[in-house]
Amino acid sequence: MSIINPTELLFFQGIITFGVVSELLNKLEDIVLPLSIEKLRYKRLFSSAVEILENIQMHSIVNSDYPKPTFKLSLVNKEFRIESCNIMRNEDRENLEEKIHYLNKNLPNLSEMFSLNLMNRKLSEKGGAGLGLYIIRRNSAHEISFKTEGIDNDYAYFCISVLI
Amino acid sequence: MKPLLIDETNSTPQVIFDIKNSHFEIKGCSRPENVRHFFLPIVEWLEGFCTEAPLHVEHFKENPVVFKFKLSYFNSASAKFILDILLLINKIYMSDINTAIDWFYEEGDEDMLDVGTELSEMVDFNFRYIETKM
Repeated sequence: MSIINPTELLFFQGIITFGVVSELLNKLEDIVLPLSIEKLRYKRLFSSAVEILENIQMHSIVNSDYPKPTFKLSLVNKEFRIESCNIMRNEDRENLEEKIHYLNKNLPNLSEMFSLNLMNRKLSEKGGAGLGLYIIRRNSAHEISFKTEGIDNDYAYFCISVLI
Repeated sequence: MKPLLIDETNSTPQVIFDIKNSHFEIKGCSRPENVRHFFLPIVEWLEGFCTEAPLHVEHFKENPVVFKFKLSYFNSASAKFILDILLLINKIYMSDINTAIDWFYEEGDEDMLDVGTELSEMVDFNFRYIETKM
């Protein structure tokens, strides 16, 4: 398969509120539905976009000294790629990295892990179920790509990329 | 009990829980801005139904309680509350009320079928799966 340059379909940089999530999902729908892709693929793309955007909405640190979150949808070799970046607390880095590594290496057990977590985890104060990454991993045939980079003692830059 | 009627929006499903008309349905997309605010009234209504339904077992022999889940999409936070709702439905069933769950999924949306089977196993309740063409 030849490598082609990614085609950027959608890009946003700014504070992600519930209203922005809805607006971006409407745009995603307007852009992707005319491409007549299979229903399952569209639903997985939509589902991954929701979970990524809601993670940023709930967990991103908003600080005018640092770059604002980004969300990008592109088409790469006939696959959709969602990339996002946001600021997070350094203290949360290790847990997040471990979780993504674990999900990437345990695809056959994801269904069981999802069920166990759904049964046992409590909703966070912000209303998150802590299951977004499970769903994102289940939606993709590829591992979740990510990087974290420390900015200072308190904060790090977190970027995630998934292919659907 | 008063019926529970919630209109559908772009991010929340329509909810109809109406004993008089034997209509129990959740339909649409679920990614509420405030998941607790949206789902708590539904959970509370079902908790009330769990208490009241056993007093009317004869009524439900002739009018089975069929919960129809017609969800096009739900996010992970909604999944938590959908599980709570299903556990309450199972509780209703365990009190000898004629109860069923119809889980609808669109043709080609195997993930919605799969999550239905996972939830069915989690709550130990057999769903009826209904494929729809949309």
